[in-house]
Amino acid sequence: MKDESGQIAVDFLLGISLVLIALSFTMQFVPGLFTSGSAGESSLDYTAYRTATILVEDTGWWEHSTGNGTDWETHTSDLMRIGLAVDDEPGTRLTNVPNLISKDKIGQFMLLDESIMVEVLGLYNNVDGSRFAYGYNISITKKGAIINVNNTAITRGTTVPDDQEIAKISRIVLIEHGTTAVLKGDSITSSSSSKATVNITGPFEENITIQLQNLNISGVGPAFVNASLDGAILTQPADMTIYRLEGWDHSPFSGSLNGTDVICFNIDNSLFNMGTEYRIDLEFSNVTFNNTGTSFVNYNNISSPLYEPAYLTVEVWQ
Amino acid sequence: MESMKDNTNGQWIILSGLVISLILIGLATLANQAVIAGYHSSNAALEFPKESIRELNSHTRDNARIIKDLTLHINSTSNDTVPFIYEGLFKNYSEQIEGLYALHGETADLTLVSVNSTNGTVNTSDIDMIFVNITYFDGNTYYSSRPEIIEVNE
Amino acid sequence: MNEKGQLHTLEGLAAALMITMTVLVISQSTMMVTPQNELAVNVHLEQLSSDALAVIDTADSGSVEHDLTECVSSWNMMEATYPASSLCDLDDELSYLLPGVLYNIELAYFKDQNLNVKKVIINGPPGENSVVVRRFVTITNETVNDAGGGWNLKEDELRVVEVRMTTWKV
Repeated sequence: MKDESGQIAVDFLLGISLVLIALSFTMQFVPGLFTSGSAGESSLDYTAYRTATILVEDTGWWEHSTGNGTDWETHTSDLMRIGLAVDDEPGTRLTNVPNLISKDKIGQFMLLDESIMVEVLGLYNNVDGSRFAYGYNISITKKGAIINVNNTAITRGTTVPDDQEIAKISRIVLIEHGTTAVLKGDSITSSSSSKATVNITGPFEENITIQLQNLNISGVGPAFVNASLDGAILTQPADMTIYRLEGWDHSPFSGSLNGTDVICFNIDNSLFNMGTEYRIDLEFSNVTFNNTGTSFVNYNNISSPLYEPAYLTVEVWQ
Repeated sequence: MESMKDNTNGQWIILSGLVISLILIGLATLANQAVIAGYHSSNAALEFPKESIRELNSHTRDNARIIKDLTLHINSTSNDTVPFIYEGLFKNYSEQIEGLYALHGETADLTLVSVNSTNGTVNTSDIDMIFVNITYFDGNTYYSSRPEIIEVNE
Repeated sequence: MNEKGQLHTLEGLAAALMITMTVLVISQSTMMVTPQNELAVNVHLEQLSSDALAVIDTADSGSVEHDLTECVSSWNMMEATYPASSLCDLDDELSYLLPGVLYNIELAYFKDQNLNVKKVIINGPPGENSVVVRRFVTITNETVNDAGGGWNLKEDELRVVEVRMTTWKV
């Protein structure tokens, strides 16, 4: 062991490897510590929040040199902002209702050009002056399934990747789904004491719903007997479905009822093809209608849009 | 052991360790600041009272109509004039809503400016336009609408 | 025996120790908790909760069995005792809209200049990171009579009721 110069390399190796082990351990820890605070992801959060807020609470806006208004769905070439909230009077201010989603606006929203969509909703990021579009997915779902409006599934954007950080915001909205007429107690017109009668003038784009409340029970075991359209008996479920409204839920209706029930008759729109007046009779047993006569309430005069709750979800990723 | 004290050529390893530690501290400080910035801007979304303001506004609009219906109902059995009843009910309403807002440290102020009718006969059932001053302040955000014009004729 | 061989090992050890201690100190410091995502979660929950109340308030009678005004009007003036709720309709409608979320509801109103705060739905003590949202409804003798509630309002009286909802995730 006269020549000892070979040992220097061994101690150097041990020292440097200790440092390297410590360093790699540190590096493993540090990225995990810092990622959630990074600027990129938080701006994703804001993008998702902002997009959902604009879509749900704003009516949108169109503008050109001679006019403007909130009914952008009929002026898509002059579109300034996209919003889906209903506005009863597009000309006047502050008539919009947040969380109520218009069917017409949804329809146009699905048809919009992809580049306009990204531009107007600001679904992009500026990095050093050049623009990168975010990946996004905007869908309206009910009980986990994407809903259809006018036979179009309401979803835009691409499939959500499962290997990336995603900013996600859901909003509860009411979406227009056909029309309904609410008839309570004595406001129900009838052709006999056991038959509620409503006149309906077609045609309709969507199914119609007649809703009866506060029925006047007059005997034991009150029940629904049948419904007829101009004398022809309607069958379930081909012509119509009947349900009880409980909260938001549509519970199955077996026929027997009690006075606090809210009974809904959802009738197929294809039965009202012509632009003429139809007559619907709803016959009950052990239920008395007091407002009997020969002139009946017209569905078209008292109907209002029927809304059902759904979730609008915006997901954004890099 | 004597030779160990004299040998100093391994100090660069310690030095590099020190440098890396300092870099880490610097990085941590930077990241912390980013987190604080994120905290504030995210908090801004949480604390901006958009719902409070909109609720004040839309609830006042709804109530202008409810008060109109109630006014006409009272007027049918009372000798008081429509504007007089309307003012009384509106004052009662604004006191309640101001009290409820004050519970959360928010100042809301609702003042009835005028009850109007397009054909000039306010004393009958055709009041159709209500002017109300609305202000809101929560310490940071100030909102004011004077006057808010509310159509009560439906 | 050459002792020179241990020298760099000690220095390497010292450097390694220094780096490790720095990481430990940084990760222990309170500022490194990551409030970013937690706040985003809170914003999301607050938004969902206020949507739920807004939706029940704006829906008309064709879409939902009882809207918010009807639910509040139908209250029988009895405070809830856990776990029963004294506003079952509102409870059903909220739980339909907010799956996986727990909530308590209080009604706040002024009666004869005095503030009343009554609990009507109790689902337990609010968890960590709970948020509060509120919505106002106006009830009159007419709405109370229609809904069969126990408010006992005078014919010419209107009462503003604050529906205060505390929500948290389970």
